[in-house]
Amino acid sequence: MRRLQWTLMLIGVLLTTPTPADQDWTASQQRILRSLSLGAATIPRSDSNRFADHPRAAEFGRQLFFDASLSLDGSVSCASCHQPNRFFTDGRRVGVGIGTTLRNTPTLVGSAWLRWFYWDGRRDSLWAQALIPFEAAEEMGGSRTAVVRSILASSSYRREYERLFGAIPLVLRSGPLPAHASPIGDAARQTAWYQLKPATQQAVNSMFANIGKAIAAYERTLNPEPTRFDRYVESLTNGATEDVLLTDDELAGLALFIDASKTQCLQCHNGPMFTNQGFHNIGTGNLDGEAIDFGRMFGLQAVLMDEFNCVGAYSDATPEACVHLNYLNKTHHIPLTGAFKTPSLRNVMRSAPYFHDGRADDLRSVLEHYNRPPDNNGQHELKTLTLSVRELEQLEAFLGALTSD
Amino acid sequence: MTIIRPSGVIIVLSLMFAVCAVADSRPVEWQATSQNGLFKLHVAPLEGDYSIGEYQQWLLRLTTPDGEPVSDAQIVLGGGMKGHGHGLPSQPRVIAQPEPGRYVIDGVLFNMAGDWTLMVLIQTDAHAERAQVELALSF
Repeated sequence: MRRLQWTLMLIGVLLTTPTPADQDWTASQQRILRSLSLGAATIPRSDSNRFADHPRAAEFGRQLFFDASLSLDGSVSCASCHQPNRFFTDGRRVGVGIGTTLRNTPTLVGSAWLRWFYWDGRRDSLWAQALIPFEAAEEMGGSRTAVVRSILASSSYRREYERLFGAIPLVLRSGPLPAHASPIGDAARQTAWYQLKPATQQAVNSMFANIGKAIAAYERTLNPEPTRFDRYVESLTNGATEDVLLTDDELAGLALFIDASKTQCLQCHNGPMFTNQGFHNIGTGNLDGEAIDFGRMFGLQAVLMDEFNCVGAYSDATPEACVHLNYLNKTHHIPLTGAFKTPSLRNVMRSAPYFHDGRADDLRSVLEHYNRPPDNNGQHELKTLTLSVRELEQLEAFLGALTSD
Repeated sequence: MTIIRPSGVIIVLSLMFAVCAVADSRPVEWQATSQNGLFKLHVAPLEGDYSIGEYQQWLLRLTTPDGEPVSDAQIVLGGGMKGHGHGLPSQPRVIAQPEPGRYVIDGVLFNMAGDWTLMVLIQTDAHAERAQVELALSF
């Protein structure tokens, strides 16, 4: 009888679900942890930008990034919303430039890892993304001819531009460009644009694209530093687990984060940037009212039409290299109406507020949204969870461990 | 009273470890039969394993129920996650047929773990069939 008891006890011990405190992750759990860690992951190539990893282009891009004179009234630069001391966010619900935008400013830290840009994915590269704010009325309010004129008018910018990208095209040296001309924007700007000769338009676009490529080269240097979570996974991999790296609450939160039977976090927040780079409907779409925003529904069409996309005339990639665009699912699914891009969770504790329109002031509000998703906002992908307050606290604690040192 | 011998304990523990080992390995190939049973399909990552979140090439083997390769079929792929109500994030397509009945599919992307349905439309000179391959993917 005693032998039976011992046997049953032994089986009981072996069958006990490993708790995080044991740091006894199963092989599949360890695989998940490694997939989330920065570890040996490398920054993806940017085939459409041959200057993507050019240090001198990055320095030129850094100067442009912080230059407010490139905006309509000289008051707004890229850094106005992407503030370095806030992990390149602005702490506001929605971005504020010359006007007020409809969407929350995403971090740029780790943006080199992303495939799609903007909450609706309407651009497919960092450089193509960097061009939009120059011409958006609510952001910098200028135009591509105004940006090109600024480069031509500054001897230092012009010198650096030519050193990197070659001589300014003759067609841009032969006479002044309109102060504001662009195929997008108000009627006056569009009229001015279509009065330009095609060769001039092409030369302006080419310079404008190169400016975007330099800014992107700078943004590619903004990579997330390893976090306590990364060091914890590294210690696991090395077989020398350091207990102090994560607190008990953080470990319990991590266990919840990767437990598909308790949460759905990992479905969308996976990979080293904690994003699956997809577009998902989580019931936050604004499908009516003044701030109407259908998200991916229009972003999908926009990226295909974008003249600065990977297969466009200003891309440095061969068409075959544009895998993401070539194999993009172009079919409109109903859930894409009101779907937005999965944001990275790295440094999430420091990049409040949250969601595409900044509606959630803190992480607890976000977690509560997922725990009890809305039931009356069209079709969304979320299922009601049954997490306790304690478990929400643990998840929040874990998310804090994703902050770079 | 039942007496459990040490050898019995060893067998029980061995079985438990075997179960654990199975639980930690993941399937990397799937099969299906088309709606009217005219075709059999076998799909697997070309490189032998898959990675969630990465574009990859997969291999589709198409045969008759008797195992004869079916060549030169027109194949269209689609699908999604029923549990989430969304489609595939990419639009994979056949790019080569290196051997009879073997089709290389490029642009395969699964950006979530879980249950995916791969819809395969097969058109040959004689038949048009639809098949559903149910994939259970994990990290």
